[in-house]
Amino acid sequence: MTEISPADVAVPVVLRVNGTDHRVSAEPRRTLADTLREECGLTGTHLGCEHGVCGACTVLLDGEPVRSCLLFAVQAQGAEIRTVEGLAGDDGTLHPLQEAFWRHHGLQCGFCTPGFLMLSTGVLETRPDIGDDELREALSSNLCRCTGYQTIVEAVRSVRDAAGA
Amino acid sequence: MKPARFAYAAPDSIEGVLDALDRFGDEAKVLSGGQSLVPMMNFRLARPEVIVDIGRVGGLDGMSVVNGSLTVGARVIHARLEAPAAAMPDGRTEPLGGVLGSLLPEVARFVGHLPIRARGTFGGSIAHADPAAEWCILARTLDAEMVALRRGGERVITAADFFETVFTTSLEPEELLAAVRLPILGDDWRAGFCEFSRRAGDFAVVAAMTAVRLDRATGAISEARIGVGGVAGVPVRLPDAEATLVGEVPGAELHAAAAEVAAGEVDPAGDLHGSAAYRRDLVRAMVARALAQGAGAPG
Repeated sequence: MTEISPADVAVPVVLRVNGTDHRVSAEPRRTLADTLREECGLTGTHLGCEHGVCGACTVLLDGEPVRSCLLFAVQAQGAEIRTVEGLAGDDGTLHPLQEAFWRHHGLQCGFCTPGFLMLSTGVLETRPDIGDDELREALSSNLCRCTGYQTIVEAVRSVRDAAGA
Repeated sequence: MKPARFAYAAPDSIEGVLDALDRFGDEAKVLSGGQSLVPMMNFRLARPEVIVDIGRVGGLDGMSVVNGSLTVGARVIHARLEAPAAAMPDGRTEPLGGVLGSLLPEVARFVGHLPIRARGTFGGSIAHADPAAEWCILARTLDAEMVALRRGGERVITAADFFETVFTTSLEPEELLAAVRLPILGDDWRAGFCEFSRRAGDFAVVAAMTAVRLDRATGAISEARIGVGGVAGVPVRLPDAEATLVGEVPGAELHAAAAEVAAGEVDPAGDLHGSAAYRRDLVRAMVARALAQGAGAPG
């Protein structure tokens, strides 16, 4: 008989985030995004629309960018999760994409930035030689209401080009 | 914007899934990639009592070529159809060639955005039955067969019988959509897919798929299929427009004539994404472009 987790009881969940195991408890309905923010204390992952459109909550799940608002924490057990907190080095050295977003003014208010950083990280790690058109298409996954996107495209492109140089 | 409470089961076998569905019936909802179901749950448009997560079940994510069909496992994610590879009859896994091998990536790139394609599944899209969903249109146009499992049984449902109305299929509550069989199109087929949406990655306002079979001797069309989404509660075939094509040699004039018949054959309702007249115009344009794309001409 398959085990059923009752609706109103928080169950123990182990989430591996940025290489560290977080032992938390979550009701089945708790999204990964809310669990990261409220149980793991990792508030870098932002929540915008909560229905998969804006991409502010994008994290990497086993290397692929995914919407953490469309995933329940119980589903993410056993996966390698990476969030924006895992990008910079322990000494505070920024990740090349973080540097590039800064240098190219790829952000203004910053709300969408963690999502864009994780989306771009996933894209460049899995497709380091991605073409310009495909890169634009990939970046169209997320919404930014400040920059008009051009500076975000330039930032990500610069990291791609620097890595390929 | 948070889902209502639900009980949760994540069986690790198909039998476990079928047992759970048998036990909970219409209180249960199957969770695959969750890219359609979870938004609806977050909006509380869907409030299932029990979620049966099939994400830990093996054996549902294969693609294989058997008896002239491509079997796509229900849990195959959209991203894999951007570069489809399938187990061939001799057991080797190879990139899928031919007409279907070119068509599936063309269609897949219209499905949501990259992160959605990394999680969302082919079977999930079919079972969700959005009338404008790309895979539903493809399944209806090609007369795909849906393989439904239940405890102790299996049945095959044709696309025509599968899609009943918006978000509603003929799957029974205790049934699991395990796989979809798509006919392998021979090299005498020409297929095209065209979609209009206001922004990249949005749901289609109207999308059309066409597939025509050419007589090798005369070059005339011997068989034609036109499927359209976004104009009714289910993806629809357009038999009158299809009949316009049969017996004729493909070309811009013929495509325009068939598209005109197609525009007259649909009866769309207007909504905030487009009036009925606008959707009718889109049907004309999308059908003509899909036919041109299939014929290798720029749309």
